[in-house]
Amino acid sequence: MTWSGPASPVQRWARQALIGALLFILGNSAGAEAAEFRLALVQRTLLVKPNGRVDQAIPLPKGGFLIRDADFEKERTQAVEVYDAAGGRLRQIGSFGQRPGSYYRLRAIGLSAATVLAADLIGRVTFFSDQGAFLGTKLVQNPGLQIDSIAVDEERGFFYLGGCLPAGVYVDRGCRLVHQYRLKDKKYLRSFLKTDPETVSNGTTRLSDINVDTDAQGRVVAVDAPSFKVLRADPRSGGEEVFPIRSQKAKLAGKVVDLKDAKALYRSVAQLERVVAAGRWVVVTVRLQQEAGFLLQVFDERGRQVAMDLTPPGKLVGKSAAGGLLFATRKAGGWEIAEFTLSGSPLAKKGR
Amino acid sequence: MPTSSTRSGSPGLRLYYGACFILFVASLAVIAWRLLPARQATGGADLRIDESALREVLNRPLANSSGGSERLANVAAKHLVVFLFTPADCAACLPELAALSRLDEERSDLGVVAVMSFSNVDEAEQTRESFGLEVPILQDPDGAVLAALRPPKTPWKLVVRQSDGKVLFEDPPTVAEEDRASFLERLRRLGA
Repeated sequence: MTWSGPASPVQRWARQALIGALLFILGNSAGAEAAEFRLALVQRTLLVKPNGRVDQAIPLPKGGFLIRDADFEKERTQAVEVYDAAGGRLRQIGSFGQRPGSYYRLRAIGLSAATVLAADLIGRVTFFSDQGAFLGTKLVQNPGLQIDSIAVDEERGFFYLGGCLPAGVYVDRGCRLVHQYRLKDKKYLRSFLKTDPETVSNGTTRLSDINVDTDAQGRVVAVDAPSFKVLRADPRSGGEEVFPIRSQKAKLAGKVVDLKDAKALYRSVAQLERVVAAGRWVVVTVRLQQEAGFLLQVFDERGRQVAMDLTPPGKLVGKSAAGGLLFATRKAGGWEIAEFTLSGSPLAKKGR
Repeated sequence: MPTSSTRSGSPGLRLYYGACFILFVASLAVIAWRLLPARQATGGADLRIDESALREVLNRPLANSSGGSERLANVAAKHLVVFLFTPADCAACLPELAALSRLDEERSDLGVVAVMSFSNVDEAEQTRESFGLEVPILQDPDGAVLAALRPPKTPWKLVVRQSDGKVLFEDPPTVAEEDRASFLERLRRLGA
């Protein structure tokens, strides 16, 4: 084929087909994929909270939020707080400490009817009334594990703890990740989902940090920080599924040959921070390497990744009863909790 | 250095070689002493708990699970094993308490008592149920016992001779089965 002189019909057709193919390929790039999903603002609430952080937010049935503020470097400031619908602070629930009724490393909170569950890294779940009265504790022993996260399935009467239950004596051989308890008597029932074999072979189990949530069907979704996969288990059937997470911006942890500086490794790779099952979607927060920010990855009910590398409008801290996502942003005078819904349709992707 | 004039075995040379030999034997003795396992005798260098602080703790009333109180010094046993722990301790370390509980039932000369700090009676009963414990679990709700004894970490075990309150040996947290077996073997040898 030559490009000099007038083109024949075949040459014109070939040129147009080539241009069309190029446009198709460019049109299916990551940027175009992200543009198909949008976060639409539903409402904002400014919490009157001049100090501290918002690490987790749970909407209260009558309006307002239950907030977890857990800065481990300023450990005495850790708190569970209740805010009303207008953002006014109503009270604190519990306080820093090692005794029953306190929390030492406040990792997660949950809400079941009028009971607040506060999960402490030291292996204790403390139960408070939503008015702040201390109700009791559950020591996580036999099996014992350090708690990373908690999810409550109030409808079915369970709560789930995310945390490593080692397969061996230590964590280097991997763990069972999610542990089911009955709400009414706090009895341990069983554990499921395992560490990704690649995480074990890479030697990155020490980065393990398990975040867990439940969806409307009672299934448990979980992520483990160094493993770019969404794990889902159905406690009724015992079925377990694994969905890979794709990202064009996250640098994944490879094989650790000689771990001299764990902190440097922690900063040098992207890690999964949170998973939220909101409505039809499962949303995963990725903390980028070198603290370069956060991205969202979105999955549908079938476990297909339908959006990649979305920029969040704040820190993903929870979900609303209506299936929306809650993001926290520092503002003058406090913290804004913004509820967004996720809408869009996945592109038909081939060869991805 | 011996000179040619002393090579014939003079008293000076014999003295010199004798001194070298004594020095050599003394060096071997020092090396052997350092390589020996930690002594079981009281007051050994590997013991961390201050005995005067321990004497006070042994006589301090500590709440039990029945609403009353007990003193460690009153435990009727030749050797008292005190297991100091908190709810925050590594979960893999606590099954050792179950092994000690079984040993307590087998041996009349041993008395095993757990002291649980930063906790309450309800959590003590949870621990008892979790591990099937038969030994008393006494309460140290504000950590005063830990503050007095200052073990390097918890759980920490002390073996005390009840007749005079002397610490015979101590043991740090153990997770691996072989480490646990070592401590239990030392306890068995006590009663032999």
